[in-house]
Amino acid sequence: MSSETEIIVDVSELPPPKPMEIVLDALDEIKPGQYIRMIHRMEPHPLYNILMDNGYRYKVDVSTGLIHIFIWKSVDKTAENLVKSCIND
Amino acid sequence: MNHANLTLEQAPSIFTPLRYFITAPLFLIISGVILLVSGPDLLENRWNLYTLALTHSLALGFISMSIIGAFFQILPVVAGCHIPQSNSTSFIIYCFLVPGIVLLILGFILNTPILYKLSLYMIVLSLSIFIVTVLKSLLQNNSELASAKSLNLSIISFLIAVILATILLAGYAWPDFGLLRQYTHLHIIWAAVGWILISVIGVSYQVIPMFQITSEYPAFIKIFLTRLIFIFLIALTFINLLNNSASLDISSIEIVLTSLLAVSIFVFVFTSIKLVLQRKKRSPDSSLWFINISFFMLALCVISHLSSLYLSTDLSILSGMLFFSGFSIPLIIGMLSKIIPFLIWYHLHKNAGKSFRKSHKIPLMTEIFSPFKSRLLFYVYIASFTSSLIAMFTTAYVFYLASILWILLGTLLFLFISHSIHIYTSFICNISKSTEMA
Repeated sequence: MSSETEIIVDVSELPPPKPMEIVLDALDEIKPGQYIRMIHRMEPHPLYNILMDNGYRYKVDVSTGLIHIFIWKSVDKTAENLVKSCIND
Repeated sequence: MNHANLTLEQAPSIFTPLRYFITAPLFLIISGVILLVSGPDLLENRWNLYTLALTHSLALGFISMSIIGAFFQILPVVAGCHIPQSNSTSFIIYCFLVPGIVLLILGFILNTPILYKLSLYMIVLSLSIFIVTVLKSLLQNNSELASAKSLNLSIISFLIAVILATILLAGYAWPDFGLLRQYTHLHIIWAAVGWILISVIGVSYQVIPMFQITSEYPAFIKIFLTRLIFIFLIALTFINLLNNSASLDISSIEIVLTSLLAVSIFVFVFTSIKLVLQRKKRSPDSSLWFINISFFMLALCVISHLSSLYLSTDLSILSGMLFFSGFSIPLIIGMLSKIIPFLIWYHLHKNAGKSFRKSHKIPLMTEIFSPFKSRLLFYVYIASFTSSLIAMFTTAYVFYLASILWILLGTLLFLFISHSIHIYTSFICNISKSTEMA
């Protein structure tokens, strides 16, 4: 996946609340057609409420050892389709 | 495997757990006052009514109050369990539990049946609501997480401890009923090991790797340890009941079962300490000091209890002191100094819109509950605990010093939590004003 469409945020070795601080900052960087791939060692349940309340959507992939959380703006269908194809791959 | 929108709106209101966390230190202060009022005689006899007032002020008022608050927070966030109407349920439980514990403490101090009766009604009502609510939520969710499985067992243990407590307290409330003191040992092991320790183990499976960036606990420990502890508790219960009814000599079986229980606890303690020592990132963190000392004291407490069994000497006061002031109190303080700033930080982010976050700097966790405060609490705790231990062997002056230090510790903890809440409410006011202006 090209870096033009994917912003990788690896927080897998950071203690709370650093992962959430970093990903909230990264939300401001998302441009149309882009999404964030957050790589974490556990599911950040508290983050999900903040995302939904602020107009973002997410999908979680736990098929590999680490947790991958894909985040995109709810209105951005291009990013949503990219995430879907990424997870299906 | 994909999970979308798994726990939407499951995080509870901030005051659902916070009302318990802010109240717990008040019972630490009350415990210090009980020590001060009773004097050193309290250390002589575990059946002293002041001793019972003290142990219940700590076990119910400080420890269980904090664990109940943590359950409301942890079940949705860590175990993915939904507690319906958690805020109102938490409030109702709180409204009956707090006066119930105060009446129980007063009941022991004044030895008045009416106070025992009132406390019995209120505590049993509130804890029944808590146990049924949490158990229902855990069973409906049927989570495969080891933490959730362990919390299931701890709640069942709490139910057994509460039933035994009701039988015992009924003996004080209705003297004609008769005091069934033979159930005291079972009440203590189900409350201390079943409720408090299994809860701590279950929560540790999630919280220690999360906050301390350690490896996960080994799978076989996560699957079997709390189940084994629970089975040993059941076996001990049957042995004790058999002994009560048939007057059999079960001391050797009891020693074997208690030793197996001790080995299980040692496995947890040493695994936890090993994980923390081998953690990936080492950063100075005073909450870790609390956790380390707490696990070390738990091991000493088990050794003390085993010694009293093998050597046939009564070390119950020492074991009790190690369990309460060596293990439980530092663990709860370490937990609160991590959970409270995280909760406040999280809820500020949740309530603040994107524009507010850009124009106002939301305080960091270290600004909400500074490392200096945690360190100060740790030093005062060490002074309190050390002086309490010395007081067991020396003059009354050290005992009174220890009592004052416990009161100081509770007061500092209460003030620091209050200040954190003040930071939260101030920011929420700013967020509301900013929303109105927009």
